[in-house]
Amino acid sequence: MVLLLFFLLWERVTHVKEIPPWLLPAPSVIFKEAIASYPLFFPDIGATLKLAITGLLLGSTIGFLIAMMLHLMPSMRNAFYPLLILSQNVPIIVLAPLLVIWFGFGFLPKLIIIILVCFFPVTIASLDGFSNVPGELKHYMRMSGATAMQMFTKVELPNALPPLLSGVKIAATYSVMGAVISEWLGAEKGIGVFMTLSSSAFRTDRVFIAIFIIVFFSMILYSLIVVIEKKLIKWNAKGGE
Amino acid sequence: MGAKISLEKITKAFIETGSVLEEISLYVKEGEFVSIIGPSGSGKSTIFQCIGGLLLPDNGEMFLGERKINGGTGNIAYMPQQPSLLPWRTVLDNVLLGQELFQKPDKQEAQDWLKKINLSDYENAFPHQLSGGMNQRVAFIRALLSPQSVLLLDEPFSALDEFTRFDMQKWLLSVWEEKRKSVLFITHNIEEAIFLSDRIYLLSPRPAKIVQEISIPFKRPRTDLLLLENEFLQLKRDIYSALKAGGLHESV
Repeated sequence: MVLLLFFLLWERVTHVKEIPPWLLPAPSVIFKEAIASYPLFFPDIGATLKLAITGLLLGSTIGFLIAMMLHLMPSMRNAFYPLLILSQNVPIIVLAPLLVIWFGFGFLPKLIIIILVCFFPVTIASLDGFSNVPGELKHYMRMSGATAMQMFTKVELPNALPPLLSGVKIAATYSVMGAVISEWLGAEKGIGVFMTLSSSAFRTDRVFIAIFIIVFFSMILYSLIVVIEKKLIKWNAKGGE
Repeated sequence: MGAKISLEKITKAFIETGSVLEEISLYVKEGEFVSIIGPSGSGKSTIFQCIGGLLLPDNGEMFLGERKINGGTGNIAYMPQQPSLLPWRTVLDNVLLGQELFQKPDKQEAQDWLKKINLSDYENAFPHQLSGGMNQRVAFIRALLSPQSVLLLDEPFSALDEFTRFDMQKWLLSVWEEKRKSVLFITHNIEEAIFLSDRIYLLSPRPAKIVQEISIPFKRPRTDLLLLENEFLQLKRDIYSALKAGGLHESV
């Protein structure tokens, strides 16, 4: 609803102020262009989505494994935690060209970038879930003779599932963006390529098409994870939303 | 019959708080219901943590049957003050948890017990959908179906309101009559202890010593009429004055 109002306002302003289309095209213009040039960017969507989804899956898995390792080996936690933070402090824009130098223009350096942005929220959220087990549950388990492994599989792991999925949600929204950024570096196909080409040709309408595609697929991925969340987490009436 | 579980001169001190337990000796026979009454903060829970193997006593020995269990875990089934059911498990899966830690759980037995306590309909419900009293019943069944033969109940009803509490006491007795495991029960409620127990140990304030051991003569099964009998009230008075003489003030 708010979105619709925003578009109407946008449409109105571009007409009244007579803003040239290369500066800010009206939504109607963008929409028409999207339909007209659909075959042009369709393969790009596929390429970017493939990159984003692979990156998200790998990134989340790696993020979860790192969290598990750090949790089960507390001595590792102190050693590696600063490294985790560091991995997020290095600007992707700086790192990306380096990765291209090391690994070439193929799939791999792009994938590494997405994994780098995606694993972090998952790791942090899982670690939080592992350690935030209510004290009385832990006490019951210990008194009843649970081993450390049973404590992990029966209590800490399920306890971490809701925050874990929240982490994946954040990672999902990052993944499409990460894919597009990685494509700027050089790729044959992808929304990132489409965007750079359109931008340098002053086809602002097409840049906006790219933006809308990114937003749209980020939202789709996000909702997909919300659906998975609803399926998996049935026990908490208030959480998991 | 020999003692199922026994503590011999258990002593425990902490650096921060000093001596907590002083030469605690007690035993529970096979199928016996024994309570420990003591003021809050007297170290009752410390006794349980020693038996459960979470704490190592400084001195003294503990036996399960003939076997020494100092520092060993998994020797007892436990029911805490909070139900402590795993929120992501259904009622049935929660009941199975105690067995699951040691062996392949017996689902049929668990279902039969849930039926017996009229919670069959809630088998697949999650704990947050049940009332506090219902959750506590589930927690008791979980402990009862655990493979261990000794139950430790740690003030299980203290978080419930007075009415639910009394219902739960009667309910607990009726269930326990059917499957008589040895029970060690912690409470600070004198009436509750008399109503439920075969024997009662009175604990002094910290550092905890055993002040007195009292046998409760009432026959089972017991009903609520018992609460009004003179003998019951006399026992209650005796215990109260014994606790008072032991240095207990207002906390009971």
